[in-house]
Amino acid sequence: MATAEKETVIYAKINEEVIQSLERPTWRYWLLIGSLLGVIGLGALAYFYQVMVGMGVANINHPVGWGVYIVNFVFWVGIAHSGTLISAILYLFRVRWRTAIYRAAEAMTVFAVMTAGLFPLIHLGRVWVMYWLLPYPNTRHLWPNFKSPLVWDVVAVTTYFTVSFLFFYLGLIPDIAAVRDRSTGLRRQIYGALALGWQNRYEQWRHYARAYVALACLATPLVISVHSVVSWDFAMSILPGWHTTIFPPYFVAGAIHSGLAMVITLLVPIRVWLRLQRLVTLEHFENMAKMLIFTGLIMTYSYATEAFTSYYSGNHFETSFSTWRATGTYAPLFWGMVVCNCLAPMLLFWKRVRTSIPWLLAISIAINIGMWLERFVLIVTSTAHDFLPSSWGTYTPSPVEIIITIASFAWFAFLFLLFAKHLPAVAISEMKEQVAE
Amino acid sequence: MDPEFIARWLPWLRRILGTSGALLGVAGVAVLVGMRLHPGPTQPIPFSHRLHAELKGISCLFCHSEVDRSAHPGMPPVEKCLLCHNVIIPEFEPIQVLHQAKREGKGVPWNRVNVVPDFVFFNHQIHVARGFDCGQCHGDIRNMDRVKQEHRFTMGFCVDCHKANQGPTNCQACHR
Amino acid sequence: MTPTRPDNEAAPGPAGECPAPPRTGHWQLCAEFDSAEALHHAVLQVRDAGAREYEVCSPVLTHESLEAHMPRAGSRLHYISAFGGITGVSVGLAMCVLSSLLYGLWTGGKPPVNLVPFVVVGFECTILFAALFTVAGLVYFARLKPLAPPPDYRPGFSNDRYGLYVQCEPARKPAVAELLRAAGATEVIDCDAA
Repeated sequence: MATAEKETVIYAKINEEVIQSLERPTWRYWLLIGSLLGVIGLGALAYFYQVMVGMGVANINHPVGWGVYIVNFVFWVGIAHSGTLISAILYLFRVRWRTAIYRAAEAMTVFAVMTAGLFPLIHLGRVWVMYWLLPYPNTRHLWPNFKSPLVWDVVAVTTYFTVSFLFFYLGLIPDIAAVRDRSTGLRRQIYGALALGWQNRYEQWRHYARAYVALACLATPLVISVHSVVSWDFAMSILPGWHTTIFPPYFVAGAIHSGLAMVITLLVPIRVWLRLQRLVTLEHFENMAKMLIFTGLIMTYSYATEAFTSYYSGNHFETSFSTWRATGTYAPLFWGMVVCNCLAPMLLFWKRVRTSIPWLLAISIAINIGMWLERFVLIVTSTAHDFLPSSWGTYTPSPVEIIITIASFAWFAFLFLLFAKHLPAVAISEMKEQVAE
Repeated sequence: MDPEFIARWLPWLRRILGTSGALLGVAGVAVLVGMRLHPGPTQPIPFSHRLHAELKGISCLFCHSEVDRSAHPGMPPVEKCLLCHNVIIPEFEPIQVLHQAKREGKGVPWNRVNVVPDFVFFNHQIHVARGFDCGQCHGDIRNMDRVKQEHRFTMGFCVDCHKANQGPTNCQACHR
Repeated sequence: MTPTRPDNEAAPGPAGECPAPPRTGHWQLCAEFDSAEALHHAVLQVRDAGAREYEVCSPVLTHESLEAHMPRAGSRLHYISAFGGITGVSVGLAMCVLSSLLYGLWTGGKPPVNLVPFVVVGFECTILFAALFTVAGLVYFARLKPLAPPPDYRPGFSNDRYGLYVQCEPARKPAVAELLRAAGATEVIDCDAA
């Protein structure tokens, strides 16, 4: 941004640039929305088929009771993590480049949790009694078992969704007010209601600033706790490959790894589509690429530690399980995961690669695939290959499971598309603030 | 939102919310009252427990003879009904249904009254052996003509009694 | 309505003290500025002229250097967050402990009250309640409600304009307007006429 110009002139430009992206959508947008809705509808049909016919239509059975649904749950919760990292943790560290991208990352967080939250319900055999998970005085004389990691998970993911939504909305309030002040008619009424009467007054700003810092401080430990709790779903059991103390940090790092890759995957097309190239620049992508190198190295270290721990434990079940994971039925997935998560991000060490948008997009998609594979390998192999050779088995997802998985990506894309077209995708007031500094 | 906009639409919002709220409330009350007052499912034969168990003093175990040695109480076979009804009011129209069933070699298609969810493994034998009266769960059957389910068999209903009588309260006791 | 003090002894309250802000719609004049410096300058002028109640609008978070010259500074919102956190941890732990005592199904030989696993629930509830209390506190303190801003609000304040609202006696209006213009206001609006 040119510094010679007066700051308010730049303010007006930022305002204009972001708000122009909310103009009346073209037919391409409606076509995209329509086709995404079609895929979501297909997924809904598959799901209703499963509810009507029973869980048999999903291939989860003995010995693999946790299949693609749980894989998707862990994957989407993981995706959610980098949004809060970028919006809260980098905010507390005063990282300047976060400003242009944090709104999109936060929206991604909220929508990823909304996607993830569906999967435990899809995984339920009797979804109509899902309210049994809620803690309230009931006719069963039974409360959720608060000693169970699965109940921790419900508490953690619900909290995470609530807090990240509040944080997302709080950041949006001044920007929605800016949109309100530029629109007329029904649009003005809707944005006016959403802006909660925001007037940019000092009396509002001084409390707003405090609330924003408070929420950032609350979200920071939360983001670390949530994926730790998700990892305890596995680590609290006794299965080889699951029962290990490395899981919480390993899951958190993996979550941020996948989330950063997803931010890049989403921002590349969004910034072209909404013509935000002047606000979201190559520098932002490069910084995220550098973080990807960092998280990629943590992932590599975690994989190595996992293998080493199982070898060094001298426990026969652990060693034979690790060997099987790398050489058995799921070996291609295991090595695919290593290539996508550990080797692909290493290409970003070259500046030529990390400053090239096509390369970045390719690598971030590879990491997305790799992280999905990682969750699949983690979850499926341990149950498929436990202590008793007599109970070994394999698992491949059924068509119903595959359709629901694809539909979950469509659902996520649908929500994100709505966000990008109808809410300011770049934080207007914070961008201005950065100019002022 | 602008005040004029609110002034224009708020009455409509009130009307819609008010009407649907009132409808929902009425429907909810109707369902609750209906559940309370419902006399239980109709049966192919208007069999009266009051007549048999109270007035004639027949033991529950005479007809439900498996109740102390099986998970299920056992519904009497047609032959057991006819043991008496071959001579007692044999020409009464509902009794003809029994004869018909006997001739066709079928049972009487009674409708289920007491429902326990399929993930609960309830066993009558142990409860009878521990000396619990049928009425503790089934209510005052002796004074019912058409039988209805007296209590909803929620988990709380079972667990309260298990706790009061030192019954097992581990999950495996009922959910297998 | 606080009349403009003729003297300069109307020192703003100590930083951190925040009584309820004056109700909106009680301003007499609104000046528009096109830079933060001009606004800052005008705030100093208005304060030195003895105004006790004035309010600033800014498209960005108001700068800390301005806070020292405003009638009220800082925010007590973080106390509400802390209170929410304490409520949350109490509610979370109480929910776990009481529910396992009242509805205890003793299984697996584990003690019914077991603090280690309950810490997780307690922690998550701390965060949840603290966040909800913070937002509720913000809604209360910043008077957020889904209504249109008052008529004297200028849409430019969310775009590229800074604003300064002043309370003064009706008789002094022209003099204060002149002062604002001299301080660099691009436009001065009479709020009572808006």
